[in-house]
Amino acid sequence: MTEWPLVLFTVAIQLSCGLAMAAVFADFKGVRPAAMRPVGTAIFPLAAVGLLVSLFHLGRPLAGFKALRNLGRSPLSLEVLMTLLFAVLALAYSHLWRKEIKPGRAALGLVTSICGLGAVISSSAIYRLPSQPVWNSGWLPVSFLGTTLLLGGFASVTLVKLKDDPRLLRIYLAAGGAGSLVVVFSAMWMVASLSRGTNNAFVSARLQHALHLLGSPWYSGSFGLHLLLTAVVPIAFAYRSWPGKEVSAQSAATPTALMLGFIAIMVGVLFGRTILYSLGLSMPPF
Amino acid sequence: MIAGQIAFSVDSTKCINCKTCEIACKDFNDSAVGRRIRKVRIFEGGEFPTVFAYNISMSCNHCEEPLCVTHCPAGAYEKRAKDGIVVHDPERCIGCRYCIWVCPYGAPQYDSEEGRVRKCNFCVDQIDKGNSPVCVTSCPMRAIEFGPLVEIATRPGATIAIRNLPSPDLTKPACRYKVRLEALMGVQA
Repeated sequence: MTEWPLVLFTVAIQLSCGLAMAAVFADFKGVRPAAMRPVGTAIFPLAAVGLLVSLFHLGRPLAGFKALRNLGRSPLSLEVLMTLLFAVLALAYSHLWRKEIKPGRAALGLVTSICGLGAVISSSAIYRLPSQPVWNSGWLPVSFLGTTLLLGGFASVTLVKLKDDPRLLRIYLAAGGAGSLVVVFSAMWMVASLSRGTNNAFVSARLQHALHLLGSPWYSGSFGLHLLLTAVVPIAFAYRSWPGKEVSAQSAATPTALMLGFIAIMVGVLFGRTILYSLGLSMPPF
Repeated sequence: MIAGQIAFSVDSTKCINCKTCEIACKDFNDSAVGRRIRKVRIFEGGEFPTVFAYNISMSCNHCEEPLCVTHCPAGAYEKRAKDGIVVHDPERCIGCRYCIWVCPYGAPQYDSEEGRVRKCNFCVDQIDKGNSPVCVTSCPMRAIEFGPLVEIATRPGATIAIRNLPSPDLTKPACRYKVRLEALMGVQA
């Protein structure tokens, strides 16, 4: 699989965008800055790592800046622009969090989050290609947006100490849980999309080939692991961390347990993304 | 359609799958192993006892609405105004391989050693000198020809709606193929 830089790039940008959304939400809620500082400062490094890793996908990484040459027409140019814009805004936003500068931070965070969502949506749009029937369906953008929510919600719970603010903790857990449901829904949508009937022999051949691959031991095992880690683990994560009378994030789930849970979710997301690229490019066009 | 659009005309009923066109193209373009700018592929169909097979020799179709031109982020593709040939500029290519995903016919081929894509440029250097593309001159069956699309498109049996190939509506390929009846898209085998 030669698309591993794209796997890491898309996941890193979605995580970064999810964290930006979590941070700006906290900003508007007036959460104690020290508690949210780890989330705010992690946004830019993740976006930067995503961008850097994406260069490894290029045959000529040093010429990567030329990807902006066809802005009016190419969806890929738009994706690069949106991601660059998001990274620049994230740099400023993370800086404000790092220095704990309050004025203007919420507004900048809002713009950063919107730009991040734009980057995620434009990123999913580049796969809507009639020549790639496996990807050319609504499940892919839904999966990208679900992953943003899933990772953003649970990463925030893992990174911050929200003992004093159980309401915000509940919101993050709920967002992560909703993201988990969306990711599972998109996975089911993908299977349904691969099983759809069509009169076009070219499209049928590709869908059937992908479906056949998905049934093979390696793919079905990976797909099962993806579902397990993005559905079951988040539910357990949320259950253990949900603040209530008897259970709270800091008492029931230790930081190590939270971190292990998040790593498991991350592994599940990476498996899902690897399947996305492997299935899509499994059959040459001609 | 561009007025002077030129195109390949491939008579699949003459093709014997000898792959001479492939080899000549590889040799002329000094293509790396595994990179097939022109490809001959055999398709099979039908049910016993009425089975059939057909060969399709295909390179870039120099489409009327080429997705590689619109989707390449580096603007490395251009459709020439005078003859409609879709040319690729390797100097502009950044090796993102998006064109490979976008082209329904798999025309762009990635060269990992060079870190960029190569594709059929219709041997533009030869065309501009008044010569023929190497695949045309090398075919021992004279199955590959080229000429103005307006003439090629009116030849008996000329089509691009071929079974197992993408819908021509995606990019409106300029090249035309003559295939046996069973190989036509939408014809019951």
